[in-house]
Amino acid sequence: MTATWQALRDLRPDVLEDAGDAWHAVSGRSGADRVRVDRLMAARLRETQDSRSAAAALARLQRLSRNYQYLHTECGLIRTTLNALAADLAVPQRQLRQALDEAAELRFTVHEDGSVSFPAATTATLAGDAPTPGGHARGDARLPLDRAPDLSGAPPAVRPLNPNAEKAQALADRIARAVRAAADIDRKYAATLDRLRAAKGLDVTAATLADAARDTAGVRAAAGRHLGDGIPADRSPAELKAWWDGLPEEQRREYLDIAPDLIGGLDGIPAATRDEANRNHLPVLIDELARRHDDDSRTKLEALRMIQDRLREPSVPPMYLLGIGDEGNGRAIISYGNPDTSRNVSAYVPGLGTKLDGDFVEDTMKRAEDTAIGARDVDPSSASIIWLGYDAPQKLDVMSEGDAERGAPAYHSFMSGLHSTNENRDPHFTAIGHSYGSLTVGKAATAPGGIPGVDDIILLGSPGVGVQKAEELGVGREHVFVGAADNDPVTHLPAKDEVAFGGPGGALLTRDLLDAGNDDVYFGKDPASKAFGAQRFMVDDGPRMVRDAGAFAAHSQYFTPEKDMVSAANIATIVGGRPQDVVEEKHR
Amino acid sequence: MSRRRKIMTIVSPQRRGAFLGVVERYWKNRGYIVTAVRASEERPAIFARSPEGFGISLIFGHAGQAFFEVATPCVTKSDVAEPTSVPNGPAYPLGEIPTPNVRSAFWSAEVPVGGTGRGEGEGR
Repeated sequence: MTATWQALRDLRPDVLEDAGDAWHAVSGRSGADRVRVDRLMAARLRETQDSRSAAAALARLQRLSRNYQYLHTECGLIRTTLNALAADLAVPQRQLRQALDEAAELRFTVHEDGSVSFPAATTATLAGDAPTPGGHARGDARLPLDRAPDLSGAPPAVRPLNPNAEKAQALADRIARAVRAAADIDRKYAATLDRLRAAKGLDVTAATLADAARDTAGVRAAAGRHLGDGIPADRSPAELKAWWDGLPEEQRREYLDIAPDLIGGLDGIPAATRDEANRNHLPVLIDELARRHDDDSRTKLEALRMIQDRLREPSVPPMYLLGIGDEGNGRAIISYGNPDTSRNVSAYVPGLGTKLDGDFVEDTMKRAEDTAIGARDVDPSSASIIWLGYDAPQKLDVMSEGDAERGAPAYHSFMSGLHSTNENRDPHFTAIGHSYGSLTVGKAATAPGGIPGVDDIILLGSPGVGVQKAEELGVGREHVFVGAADNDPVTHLPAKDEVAFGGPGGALLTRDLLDAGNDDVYFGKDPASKAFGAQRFMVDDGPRMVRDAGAFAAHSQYFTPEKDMVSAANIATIVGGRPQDVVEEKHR
Repeated sequence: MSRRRKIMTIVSPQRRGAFLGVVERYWKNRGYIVTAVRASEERPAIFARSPEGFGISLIFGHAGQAFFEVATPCVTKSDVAEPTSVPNGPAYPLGEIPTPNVRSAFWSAEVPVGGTGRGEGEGR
């Protein structure tokens, strides 16, 4: 575009948008074609015998799939760039048209070069009305404060000024500024679009696809603000869902392809959408962390790569990546089974020592997977979530209520989102808190309104949940379930006022672990006690801390059928909506 | 590690208790210790441990389907081959196993077992 005001005035953003629509259609078709090719490929892989021609056919299909993927990405990028360009150009165009209208009203003439001439007029002076001649104002695109002071030394003319002169100058400046802004926008987007140009006869390889990811980042830089401004981030999950549902398909695609990080963690966005957004964002996050070289980044990077590997494998139940991030000790929210279509959904808050690392992927995530597998035997319409959406304390001796109090609102918001996106008329939600996570669940449950949608609460290996009685958790004491292994030291942490020295861990070893008369633990009443009044279910005692050299093993096996079949089955039966089937255990 | 199997034989609610009884007797004869029992009519379950430390369970769940699970004691992590035993019925892919669809004159009969049950356990 040549930067003239006439061009800007006559520019039709809808033409750019139409072009965007056309690119969108190509992108969409390529995406669909790629899915078809991938399906065909998967079928071939299953059916084919090891023959050379089959291998060659597969290689061709893989190439076709890559080509479609590349087309899908790049055409989608062009669409977003054009849409953002249209939106950005609309602003200076509006400013220009306003200035032109005002000039016409004042009977000023706007010349081809953007200068404005004004007619003669009479001006009131001390000596009476005096005629002032017409004139010509040349626009200046700089803002008034940017202008260098006039040091030419010529004193301002004393003769009376035509009152039109000032108005004409202001109009000429506005016209010049609008044209300059449009030219800047044009240059920026031209550069972005230019980078999207593909070489003729391009062979789409893995490296090209990596370039496509870089292209995405480029478009993100140019068009990201335009997308970010659109999100009503301060609204409730239910309102966010309404906003998302109301967006045209094309805009949703823009968020998913260009700014997935902005919507992947939003509570109220449907699970399948969050999953797609987070899967799109994961490689970017991995790339970012791979460029840092501190221990913390390396730990998170290892975990993210392991998660990515697992996401690529087909699994039953299928995995949904509902959240991922590197803030604090790292964030990861993963569902086994679709939490929007499942009637039964559990969300497990992990505890002491949990962070985004290799152990999290291998052990903590597996707990949610085991619960999902077990619950689906009870009711096939079940999903289980591991929710690492807060910073858990990393050591016994730094354990205070602060982390739980910070985590509770985030958990509350997450459950509220699930509640608004679940498609069942009468869903059944279970909140599970393990270890310190049970305190986080307790804090969320005692906040006004309780945890949205939650019918049952399971507390496992709990050091106390901050309340004295089960009914304070707001779901009725018959809906609060407790698993507490007799050899799990965390469920015996002495109350804070009993701690003499060395923190709770130190005191633990010097104190009788089975002090039967005492039902106060670290964060309040022992949830397994009669006084607390919850439903205690049977779990394995677990290895003893000192005599079996079990240390904290009994604290870590509640979910795991390989280690404690009874506990895992009890958790599954509650999550699956059959709490009447738990195998009970006497209170402590 | 663990292995899970779903039972395709329809076991009527009236005969689930008897089915559990047959399994329990067999386990006890093998020296297994019963660790827990869920005494539900519709969805009974039994959990046991073998002298070598294997865990084993039989649980009735959704649609009256019975599930067996066996878990090994702790072992060092290593690659494990898929089981080689062939099911005595269709080998359904993971995630597509239907609810029980095989009728048994004995186990599917909707009357309680009269007198001594003939234990013809059709574990699949």
